[in-house]
Amino acid sequence: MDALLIILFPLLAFLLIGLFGRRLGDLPSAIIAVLGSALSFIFSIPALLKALNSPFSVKLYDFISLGSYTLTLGLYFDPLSAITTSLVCFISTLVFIYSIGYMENLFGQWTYKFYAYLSLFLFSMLLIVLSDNLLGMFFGWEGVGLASYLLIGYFHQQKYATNSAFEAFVMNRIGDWLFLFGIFSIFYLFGSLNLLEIFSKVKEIDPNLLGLAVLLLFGGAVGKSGQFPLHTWLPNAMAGPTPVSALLHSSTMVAAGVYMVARLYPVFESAPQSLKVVALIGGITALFASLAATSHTDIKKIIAFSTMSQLGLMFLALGIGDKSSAMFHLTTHAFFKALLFLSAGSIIHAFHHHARNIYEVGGLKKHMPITYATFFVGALALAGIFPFAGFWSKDLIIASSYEASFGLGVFVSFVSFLTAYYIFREGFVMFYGPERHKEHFEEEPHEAPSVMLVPMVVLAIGSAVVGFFEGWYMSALKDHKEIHLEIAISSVVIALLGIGLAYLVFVKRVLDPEKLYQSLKPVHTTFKEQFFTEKLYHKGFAKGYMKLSRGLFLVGERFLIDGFINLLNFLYFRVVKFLWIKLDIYTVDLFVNSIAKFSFRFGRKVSLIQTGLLNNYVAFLLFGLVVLLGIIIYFMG
Amino acid sequence: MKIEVAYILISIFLFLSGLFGVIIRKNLITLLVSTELMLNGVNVGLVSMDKMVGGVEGQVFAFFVLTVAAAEVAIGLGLVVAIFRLRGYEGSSEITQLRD
Amino acid sequence: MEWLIFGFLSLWLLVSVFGTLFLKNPVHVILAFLSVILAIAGIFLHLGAELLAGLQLIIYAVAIIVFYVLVITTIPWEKVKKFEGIYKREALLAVPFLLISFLPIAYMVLEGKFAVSERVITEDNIRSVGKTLFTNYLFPFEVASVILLTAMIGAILLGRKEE
Repeated sequence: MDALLIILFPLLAFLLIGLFGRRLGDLPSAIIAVLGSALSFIFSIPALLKALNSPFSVKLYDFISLGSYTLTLGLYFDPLSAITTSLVCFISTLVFIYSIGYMENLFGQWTYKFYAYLSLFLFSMLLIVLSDNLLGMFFGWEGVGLASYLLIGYFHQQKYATNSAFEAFVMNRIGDWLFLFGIFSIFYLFGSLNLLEIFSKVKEIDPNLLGLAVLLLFGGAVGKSGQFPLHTWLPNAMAGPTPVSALLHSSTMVAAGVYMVARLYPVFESAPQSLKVVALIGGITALFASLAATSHTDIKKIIAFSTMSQLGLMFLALGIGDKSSAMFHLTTHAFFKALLFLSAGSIIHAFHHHARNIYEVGGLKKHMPITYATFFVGALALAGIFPFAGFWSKDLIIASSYEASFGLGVFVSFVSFLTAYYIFREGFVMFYGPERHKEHFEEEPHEAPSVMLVPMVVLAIGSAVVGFFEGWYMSALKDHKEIHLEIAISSVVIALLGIGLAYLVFVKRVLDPEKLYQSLKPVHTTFKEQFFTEKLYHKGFAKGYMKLSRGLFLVGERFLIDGFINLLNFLYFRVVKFLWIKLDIYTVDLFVNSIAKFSFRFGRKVSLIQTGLLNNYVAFLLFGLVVLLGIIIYFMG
Repeated sequence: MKIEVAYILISIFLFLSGLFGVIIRKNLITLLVSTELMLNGVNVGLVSMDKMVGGVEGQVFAFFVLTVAAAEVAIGLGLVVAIFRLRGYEGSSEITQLRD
Repeated sequence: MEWLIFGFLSLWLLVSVFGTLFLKNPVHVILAFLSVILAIAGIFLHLGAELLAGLQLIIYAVAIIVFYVLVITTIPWEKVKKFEGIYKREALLAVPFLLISFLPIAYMVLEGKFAVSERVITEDNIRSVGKTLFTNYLFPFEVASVILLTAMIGAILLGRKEE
């Protein structure tokens, strides 16, 4: 029963805030949201402990019974789901607390909606993680998509935000469509949507068909996690408030795709070709996202690309068969990515939400020391420097990729080089160098309030120490990893190289970034435009679709239908007129008119009888008498 | 043929002559005279039937016809006088207002 | 003998009727009518209806003819002159019809069977008519007087001068 409460707390929070938020007010709603998340976290710990040894299921509800199969809702706790649950709840609680400080200048403007959406998101995310069948997972899938739409477009007066929300939702939808077809095929193949049943039957199914089903499911993951080709929404999703970016689009929601693949890993493993596709897409995304991150200048977008890239690495790891390192990287990534976003949010908040570009700020080291520290902790973790968490998880991935093939290992190393470069580029530009903010803003930057700082510090500590839990994590997932020393050292060296490059260029000004930028403009632009995929999608697909619709409208509606109706109209009139002439004028009118004329003439003639002359009338009497006589004689005789 | 039967024929003849007179006469007064002819014809017929059958009812009826004829003459001539006073003429062709 | 009287009377009647019908001058017409009345009175006498003959003479020859003459004299002669004679067209139209109506009736009368009664008249005509009139037909008698009264009133009304 306690297990049920884990899911129920955020749901209750959502309902309470949603229904009574107006009356409760913004701050109480925020506290309710925080409480909902915190209580979920607290209750997830005992479930976790229990699940580590013996996975258990909690059956919730028989949904619809369709003859031979019943759709149910239920929860399944095994090490994977339990650890992820605790992770999600923990990060959520911290981000919720942070958001109280971040959104405080918006309190009084119905900010309780924000917390309602956040609680809804948390509930749906937990549903994805904990559900024991694909249907519940799909419910949660849709729920997080909805929450993401609502939260990205939270500043709904800005056109950019609403467009981004729409784009996110549409791309998610495409992914969901594929996911749904995946579910259909799974049901068709297995006859059941329950995970345990699927796992037990997975060996019996033809690998090719299974591969097809699995690829469809992976399509959903592509949409949800912002991988190529459904990636353009993720950078634009930064239009939402920073807590949203920190929670949804870095650590939890986008991780749902990775989680789903990991969850259904037995199925993926049975169709090896699908894993190749997974790895391929992950690799492509990792590379081009990091390239894009090197050329962007928006504070949050760089971090968003970083997310995309790291997720690509996770998919790559999954693709080469290493589920546990992918999941471990997910866990550590949640910590330091959320941390990076919160730090970035702190900077944005310091300038009262005006700061956008890294070149608009500078030299913040002495103004915001704690933010500086947390940011660099996160950056170091991301780059994979010992002893921070990222080192441990990334090292595992690099090791697995070297095992798979040397080329792959080099590839991943190159990506991590780029990763270190771009994140430190951002850090150096923002915290070192001249204080550019004086030209752009009038506010003096100040350190964030403690309600924001405490979560950041907690996350920083987490980013630092979580790596040491690797051993425990691996054993929980029934896996065992060794540390390959040579790979560890080489990856650290590569990362340091990246940091060094960034340091040289942006701090020491060995190479002038401006001149470099000008000379490499085409390259730079290609990276920035994400290899023109965004342009392609927006202008090509979206606008093309609109043009097609309009064209169809013109042809279909105006030309065909309207033309048809007008033609009918015309013909109808013609026919009616013809009929009118024939029937009405020639026959009916003729008939009626002639009757009238005839009776008129006849009447005129007959009226001559009416002479008025008495004598004539008597004559008529006589005539009548004669007629009567005739009749009498006739009948008498 | 008995005498009475001949008289009946005479009466029919009288009646139809009276009718003929009504039809052809222009002057109103002469028209009324023809009406009297008709009545007389009826009287003759009644009386001859009376003779034939052998009762007196026919004569009684003829008596009444006589009375009414007198009354009717009075009225008719009064009408003619009134018409003349109104119109100034007494032709039946002039009193054709019914036509319109 | 009977037939002789009949022939004479019928001839008289016929000539008078023709006169009534076809004479132009209204005064002549009235005179011809007078002649008709006398002839009919003769017929009545021949048929044995003495009372009726007398009554006929009194009422018609005295009252009604006087009426007619009176009215004729009130009208200026020029006006009377305007409307003399007969309508030729109607005359031509009516003759066939008259013939058509006369012939069947004549045929019926001639060929038909009349009721024959065995009653024999024992007493005077006048007495019997009087008796019947005042006993069996008293009511119509009284009503006749009312009719005469009405006629008198009507005639007075009609004859009134407009004030």
